[in-house]
Amino acid sequence: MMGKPIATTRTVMGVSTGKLAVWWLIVSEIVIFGGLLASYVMHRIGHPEWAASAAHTDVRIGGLNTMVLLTSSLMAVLAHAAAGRGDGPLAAKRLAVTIGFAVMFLCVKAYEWTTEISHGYTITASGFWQFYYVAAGIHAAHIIAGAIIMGFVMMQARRNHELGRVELIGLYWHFVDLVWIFLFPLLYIAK
Amino acid sequence: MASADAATHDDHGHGNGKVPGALRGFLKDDHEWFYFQTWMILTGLFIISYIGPFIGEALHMFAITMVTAFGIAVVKAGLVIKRFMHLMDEPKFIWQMNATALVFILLFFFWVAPDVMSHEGANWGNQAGASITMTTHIEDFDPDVVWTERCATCHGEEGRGDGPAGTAIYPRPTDFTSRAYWATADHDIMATAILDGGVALGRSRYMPAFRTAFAAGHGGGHEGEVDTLPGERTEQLIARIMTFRPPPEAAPAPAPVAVPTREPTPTPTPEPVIDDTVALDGYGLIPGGEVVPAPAPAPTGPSEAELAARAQYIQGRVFN
Amino acid sequence: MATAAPHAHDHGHDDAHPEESWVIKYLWSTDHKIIGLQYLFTGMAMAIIGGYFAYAFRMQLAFPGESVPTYGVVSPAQYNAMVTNHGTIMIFWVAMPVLIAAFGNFLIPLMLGCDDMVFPRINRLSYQIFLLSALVLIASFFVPGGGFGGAWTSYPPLSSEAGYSLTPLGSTIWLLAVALEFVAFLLGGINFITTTMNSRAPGMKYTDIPMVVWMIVLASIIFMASVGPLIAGAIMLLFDQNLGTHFFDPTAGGDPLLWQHLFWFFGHPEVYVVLLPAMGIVAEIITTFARKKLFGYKTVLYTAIATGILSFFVWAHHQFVAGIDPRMANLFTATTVLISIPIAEMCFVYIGTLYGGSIRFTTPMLWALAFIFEFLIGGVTGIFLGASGSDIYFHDTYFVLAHFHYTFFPIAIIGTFAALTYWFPKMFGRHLNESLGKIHFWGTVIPFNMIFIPLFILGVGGQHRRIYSYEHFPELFQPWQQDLRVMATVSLLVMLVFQALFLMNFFYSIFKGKKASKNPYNANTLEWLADSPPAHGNFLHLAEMPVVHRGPYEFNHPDRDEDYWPQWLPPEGVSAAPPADPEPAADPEPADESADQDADQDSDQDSDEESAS
Repeated sequence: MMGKPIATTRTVMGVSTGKLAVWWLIVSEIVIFGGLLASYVMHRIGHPEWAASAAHTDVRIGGLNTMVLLTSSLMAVLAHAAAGRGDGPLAAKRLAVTIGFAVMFLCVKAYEWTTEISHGYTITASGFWQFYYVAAGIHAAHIIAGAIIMGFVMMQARRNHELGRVELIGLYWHFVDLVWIFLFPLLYIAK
Repeated sequence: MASADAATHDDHGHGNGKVPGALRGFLKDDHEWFYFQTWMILTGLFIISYIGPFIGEALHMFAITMVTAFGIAVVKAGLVIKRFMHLMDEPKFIWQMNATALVFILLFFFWVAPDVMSHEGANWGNQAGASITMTTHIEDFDPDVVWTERCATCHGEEGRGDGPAGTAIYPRPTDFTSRAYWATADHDIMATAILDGGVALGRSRYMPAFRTAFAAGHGGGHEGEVDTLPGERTEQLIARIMTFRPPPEAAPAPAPVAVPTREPTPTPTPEPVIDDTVALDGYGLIPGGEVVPAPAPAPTGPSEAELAARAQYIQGRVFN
Repeated sequence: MATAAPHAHDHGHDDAHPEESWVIKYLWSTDHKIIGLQYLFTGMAMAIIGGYFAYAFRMQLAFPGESVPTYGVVSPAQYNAMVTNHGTIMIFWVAMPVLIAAFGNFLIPLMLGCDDMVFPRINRLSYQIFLLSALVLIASFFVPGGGFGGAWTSYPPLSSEAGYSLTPLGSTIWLLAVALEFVAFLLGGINFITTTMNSRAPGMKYTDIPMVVWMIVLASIIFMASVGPLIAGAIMLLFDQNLGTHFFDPTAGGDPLLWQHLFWFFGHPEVYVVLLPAMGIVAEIITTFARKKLFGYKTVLYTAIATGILSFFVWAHHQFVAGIDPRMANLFTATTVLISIPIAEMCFVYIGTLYGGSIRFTTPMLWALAFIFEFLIGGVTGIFLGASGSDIYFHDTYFVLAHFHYTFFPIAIIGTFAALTYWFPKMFGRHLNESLGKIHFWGTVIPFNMIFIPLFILGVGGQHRRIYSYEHFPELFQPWQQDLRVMATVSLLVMLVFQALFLMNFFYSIFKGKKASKNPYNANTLEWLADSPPAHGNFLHLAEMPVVHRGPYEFNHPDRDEDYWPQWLPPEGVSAAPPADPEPAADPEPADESADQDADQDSDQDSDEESAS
């Protein structure tokens, strides 16, 4: 690969270009999840009968996944701290733990969905369940994408390359965590 | 607040004096200890939001659940944004652009919600949405309340077929004060209409089916066990409707086809588009209750043959 | 002013950009100019498909049931599919890729004095996803059941139920193509925004950015902020089509109105997403060929930002007859009428720029003037549709259609031709033929009016849209109505013939046209400092990367003999420094504190822009 263009190295706004782009990415994600959740909330308020379906979500599993993601967020920010000190190998290790939590999240999710589907709560079961699967599914897709990208960043960080990217993937990861922080009460707690 | 926090932030400079001994191997400096403390706060908040619903249920206060669920979600989000994402350490346009996106989503919510959440207004009605809401499960059955909440929106408080949502529906909702209706109605027809909806009679599809709503259990969805409750409740509701029946006249009007609703469609074809046109022509704006002549084409309108040609054309257009 | 960027030496031309094979150079390139041209040519190819559809269904309307030359008899399902895909292609695969992606890619780094976009490989990925989306869309025409025919707005249940649309595969593939295209533009948009915010040439303040760059960036921001709900909605619609969910099915608790809101929450800002770049292009051309400073740079900028904000408040004027709450309709009427104010103000600024200028009627200038004239007609007819009272009568008639084309044709076609003829020398290093260009101009603009003025008349007369043949509607099949339809169709044929003339001129001039100099129009912005066409790396072979000393529209400055004053010229040739002269940039490399303060200042100014859009 050729060297970076001069354009990439300029920072007129006082923020590194990569971080600026990640923040814009987060803006575009805010409106995607925002549109989805706004649609869900207005339906949920307009359809009191959905509470009957919502009663069947398992708050214990949802809670477990909340803790998994919160902890993975801690590991991501610790990786950023390590990268900030220039300690690439430690950052890579912590990113690996973060990826481990991501995999755990997906396993728990797989178990949860299997249970629910086998009880007949499929995506077509009712209005609530279709939003449940779409919202959690899009979120899980973000987890998968984030974990894959984090894998690449980890490989680079291990060789002390591009340590700035540890922070960038961390920002994205915290955002995915944030979405779950709101999905948890919306889908599991508020019945 | 931001500055105070930034100060603490800075205090956590480089030493590791504040890290408890047990965690020294894991957390390399005070900075990381700060992150770990944040994580502990988040865990505590999570536990509160987890047990909130149990307290709310025990005290029968739904508000507690709402506060612990969403209030704490906002606090948790704030902590993650501030302490993990360091949003406040960036130039301020970063949070401004994120806040702008959020504002647009709020705008979307509040300007769309009137349409999606509400199902009727002064001169308009969202029949599809309303019929879904109307058929939500009923816990404590009181025929008067059910009449007001579920029936009167279309049939009117006085049973005249002039409820707010009813004025926008063709064919018009049944007018229970009309003698013409009672000339043809009987108990079974009314029970079928209430339990299985207008479609079961081949009449208006806007008349919803209340069988699930009247059923026992959680209602809605998948738990539609067969029980006797819907039948009993329907009897009560029919008794309520019977109060609108006018006293019989000495000489009842001879009414050959006197139901101001759509006639049953003989063929089981899927709801063709033409149906509505015919319904409009036949029953358009005639107030309910009057004896309606069989839908004959108006003298100035298109001829029978022309109508047939159009219908055939539309049929071809739809199913080609 | 020895402000040579040290990087220029690190990145010797030969190291960074070695000789490349043809495939690497033109198909797999990360060079922003090549990617811009790829977008341009893909957009032109899609325009030919969209134009062909227009030809086929206009022929069907003018001569119902007769065999269309080169197509054959148009069946009702094919008619619907062609109308739908004409709209989809022209908006998503012609207007957006050409106006935003092609010219954005080509112009932004050049005008900002960069060697490339900040993320060249993401830029390439963006084009590749876009190309894939175009291929997917074309594939949707050939699946069993035919292409999707539920209109570009794809309202459910027509789009969600195969039982209604009868295109089970076509509608899904169509939706996938649109979704891919959104991904491509999100990636491209982040690139444009980040490049403009962070990689401006040293000394370029936010009021020194050429208007077209501002407009493309604002459009990208508006796109990004509005498309999210529709992406979520597209996923819901996809599941409605294929998994049997009921998000938009009222018989099972869904709400079809929600789709309309999700769609138009994006769909109306989308109008401004394509309008603003065209407005920017016109600003560049008018100032250059009137040899006059833009009359109110900040006015245009702030009105554009105001337009961007307001565009999020007007969407439901497309739904006045869709059963929305009438009280909301009043609100949306008010906001819709409001948004005409900033747009009108922009037009006034452009007319003010012309006043007293020494106007040269070159081909690009003709296109730019035609844009203002035709777009005004489109804007004025919009007032009838924005007011809910009159919209109830006009809705779903050809009046809407004609109004829409009077806005989009100036934007997507006239705006594109203006930009293409203006920047052609920079893109290909040769000039277009002026006489052919003027013939093509009149041959396009006159037939355009001849197509759509009859449709206005038909629409006011009550002619409903989306009807395959009016034969079965005697009251819509009077001879005068049919005559107007034939007139519109014949005008379309004439217009299409003149486009062939343009294509000949275009391809002939790429290879055989008159060679162009670096700055053939004596214009001011930085792209005219580079070679024609610029090499990979734009300015890297120069002694130093460009530094900006003044605004982009300094024509006929009183202290100067020449009638133009390029942005890159240092101010030493001036006897007395004019008060408007910006203080020289402290240091191009923001390694030290002074530059950081500079950046802070900039961020303050730009934060207006962020919160605005």
